[in-house]
Amino acid sequence: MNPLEFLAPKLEGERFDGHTLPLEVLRDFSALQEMLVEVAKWEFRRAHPDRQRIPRNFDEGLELHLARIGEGSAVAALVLPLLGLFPRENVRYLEQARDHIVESIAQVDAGLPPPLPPNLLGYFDRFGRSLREGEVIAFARAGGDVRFSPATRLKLVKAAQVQSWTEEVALRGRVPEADQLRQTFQVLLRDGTKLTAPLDEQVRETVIKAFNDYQAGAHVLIKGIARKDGAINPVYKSIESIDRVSLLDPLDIGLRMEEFLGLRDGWLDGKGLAPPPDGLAWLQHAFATDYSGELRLPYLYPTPEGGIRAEWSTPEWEISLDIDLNTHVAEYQALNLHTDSVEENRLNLGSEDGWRELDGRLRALEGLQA
Amino acid sequence: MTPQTLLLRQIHPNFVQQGRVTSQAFRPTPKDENMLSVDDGDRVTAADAFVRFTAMPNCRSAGILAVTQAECAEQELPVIADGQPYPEHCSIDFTACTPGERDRKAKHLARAAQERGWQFLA
Repeated sequence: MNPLEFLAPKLEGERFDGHTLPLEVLRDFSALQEMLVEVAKWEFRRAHPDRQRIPRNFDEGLELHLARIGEGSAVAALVLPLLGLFPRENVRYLEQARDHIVESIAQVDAGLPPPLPPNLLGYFDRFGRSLREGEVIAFARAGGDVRFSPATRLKLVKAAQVQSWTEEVALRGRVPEADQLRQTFQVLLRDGTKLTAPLDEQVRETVIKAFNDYQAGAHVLIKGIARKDGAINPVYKSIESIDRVSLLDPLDIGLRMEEFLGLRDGWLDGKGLAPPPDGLAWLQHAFATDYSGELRLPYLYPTPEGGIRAEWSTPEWEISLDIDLNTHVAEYQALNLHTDSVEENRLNLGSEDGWRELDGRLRALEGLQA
Repeated sequence: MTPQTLLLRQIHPNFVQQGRVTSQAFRPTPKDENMLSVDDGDRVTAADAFVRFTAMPNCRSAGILAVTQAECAEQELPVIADGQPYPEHCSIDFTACTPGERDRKAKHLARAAQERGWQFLA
């Protein structure tokens, strides 16, 4: 029997432009499957109010499969193979469940109460958790697409009336404490928040190294799941699970950007404009994607004009790059301290060509091959 | 003032990363009318200059670096003992420089100052 074409959510955002799906997003679809089963049971109970129990084999053999990834950003074609023991008559409950889930997203997005009860909305804690800012899962439906964004997910989680929820995070911090007896460690964030995290075997070596180098300023980047709560100003409460931990370069770009986010107008003895947060986000992303890992990281400083200045030093050269965070144009200057000769250029860092030119110039001065 | 006189420059904490100081610390802005404020090291100690500066509202300093009057002369930068707003105050005059020249000369001064090392560290 041919599989039933069940759902074709379209994932939009830069990560999906290559018509591929990051593996971490598949965890969301796994959570969606669990949600579908529980909502289908709810549909069944509504259709049979006289029945005490759900049929024993209600979800036996139920498995959604990712059949293919279609184009148009990335369209995840989810099918129901209808193999084995799965009772065919239950398909309609699954289809109703699917429609109610999509409708719940649409209603909440429109500021209306969702049709699903709070206990089922709780599944949105896991479905949509891997979405990043600017990313959307679009569901087709009669009357127009339904768009599921991180903001919509948060509304659904709050509609579930839970006290706390989880988020996928990438947090930078230091490790002031490690408790080998309790198998936990503490992460100290830049704002002073201390979070407890599990000291799993696979991260132990890196965490202990960061703990030992705490006084020297060692920072780690933790990727995993954090719990958050707070109705008005949500804050992180703990780290529930860790995917990976890595020690950060002392010149880590993201770490420095977090420092710059704390600057306010007047930071320079009463003068000095604060760099715009969206400009900092752009620069961090650009360094991550367009700056070669073979090159040394630059030292970064705020400028009085609200920009960022990158600097590199070699025994012979002093190199600077004044970056305008609004226009993405940068003024490059390399000074040979021995000959006093200067190379100056204006680079458009809003384009790949600008980054390529910077790459070439730095490689030449560092004696690296292009 | 002699060629070897140290000219003391306050370094803002945001101009230091991992102990390295940006050459911006030795580059005046147009708002400073292209004059770089320093103190005459023959007339005030670095510690006293630090205390006076950080006692002013909104003024923060990570410490003090210094260049000599001779190093300024090498960059064709006049040093003016203007005595304003206090007697030991001097200004390194960048007014004749284009923006590119300001940057270039600031890089020379910053390298010289960092090779000399901190005169005072908060």
